[in-house]
Amino acid sequence: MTIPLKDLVFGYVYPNGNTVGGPVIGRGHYSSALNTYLDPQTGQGVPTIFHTFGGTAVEIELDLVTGAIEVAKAVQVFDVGKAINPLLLKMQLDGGFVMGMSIALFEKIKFDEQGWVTNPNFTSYYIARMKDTPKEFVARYVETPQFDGPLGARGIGELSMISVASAISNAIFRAVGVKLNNLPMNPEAVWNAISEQRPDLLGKAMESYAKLESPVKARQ
Amino acid sequence: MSFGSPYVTLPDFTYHKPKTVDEALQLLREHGDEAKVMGGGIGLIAFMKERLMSPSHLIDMKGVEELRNVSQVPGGGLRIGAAVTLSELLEEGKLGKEYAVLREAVSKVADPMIRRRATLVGNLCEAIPWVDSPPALIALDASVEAVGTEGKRSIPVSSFIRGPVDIDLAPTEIVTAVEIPGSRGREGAFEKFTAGSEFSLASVAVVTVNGGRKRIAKVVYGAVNSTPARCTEVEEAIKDGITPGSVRKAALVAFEKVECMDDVLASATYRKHLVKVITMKALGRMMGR
Repeated sequence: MTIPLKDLVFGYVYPNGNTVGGPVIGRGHYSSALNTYLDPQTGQGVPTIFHTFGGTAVEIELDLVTGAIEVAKAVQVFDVGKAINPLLLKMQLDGGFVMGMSIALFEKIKFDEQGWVTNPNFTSYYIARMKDTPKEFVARYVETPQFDGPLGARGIGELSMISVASAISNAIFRAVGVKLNNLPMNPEAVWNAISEQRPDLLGKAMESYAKLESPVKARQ
Repeated sequence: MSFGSPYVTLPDFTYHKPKTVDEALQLLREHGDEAKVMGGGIGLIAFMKERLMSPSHLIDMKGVEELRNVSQVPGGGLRIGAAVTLSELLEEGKLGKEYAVLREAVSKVADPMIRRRATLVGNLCEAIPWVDSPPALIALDASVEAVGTEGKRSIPVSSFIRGPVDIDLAPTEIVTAVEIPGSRGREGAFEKFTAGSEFSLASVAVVTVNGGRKRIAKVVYGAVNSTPARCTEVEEAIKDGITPGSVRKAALVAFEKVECMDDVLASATYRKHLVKVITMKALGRMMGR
């Protein structure tokens, strides 16, 4: 169906032809080709329009003695369907990484017994700063078109931060065999986990520290 | 210790920028409790945004030319004016080898942007437990020069800081300088641990003086408790020289003797461990000296 532009900009026109340039009021509706309601019995169905797949890899340096983590390198690869603006996409992936890393390593709202927030400002609710960001970023993309997306594209926004914490946690596990399943993985939490799960490793690290050699770092 | 309140916009205040100390004292007399003296404002502005303080008059000392100097005291020693910023202190030739501990502490304060704005005296007067310069200044036996209506007085930094955000200064007094006694054979090191670029969770300032037979060691811990404090047991452990053996012993003694607090940044247990680590780091660098 086509509507002449004139009819649209005049707004509502009475049957007698009168109109006083009212606002353009319209209604639209978009329904995705694949979405369905969820089955009340089984909960099955297709609730989301698209699934963007991707992966995150990190290289970290872990100071065994203090539990401090430095992210040396960040790699993110996502299947975005179509990279409409590749530079913006790279920035999105790098930015998402830093946000995910900040949540993984630092951010935590703390409460006292009465429920008051004890770190209600950015002095104590710590977020990643430039100094904490990885030295090296790699962002790549794959283009498998989304059949009903614009130019075959699909969303990427917040997705770039989702897998960062898991990647860092897995890197810690591969480096020292310590499993961390709680955020944030700040130095104290990592040190606690090492003390509990690998006291032998911490003991060894402290020993070589006591020999006054260079700091012990595990790299993964 | 908790971290006050959320930041809100600054309360209303009148800004004064006196040119001399006398002018500043005059303003302080006029406005009394309503006025606050400001250096770089790093601590004060944050306190005001948290509404921990709401002075209606701010007296900015950065315009007082006579306080912008770092000068040698005749007979040895250094006098650092209240308006000298941390980055000015780091300029070539300002802090020599005998002030190494202060130089290291200052170079590790926050980031370059803050060091350009913050003053040493402001850092000291802020007196929150996590700041870096007080341990170094205490280890150096520094004292604070305060000028008030009754004249000048000199207060050792160790007693100037009475508690968190509590200093030995009358409302009518202004800190004009920090004075550090000179000492030829003095060496030092400063170490701290932070999570990311956050406040220190533990810091240590070590100073040793080799004067012929007599050997003096001073070890001061900061950020582990509500005020920076010396640990004489650690000093005892290294008084006969800093060797691998004495460093290990000092670290164990520090772990046992240094009192640590629980706060929103870290637990006492973790701080105790850090005390051990930074003691080894700082003393390890000073070995053989």
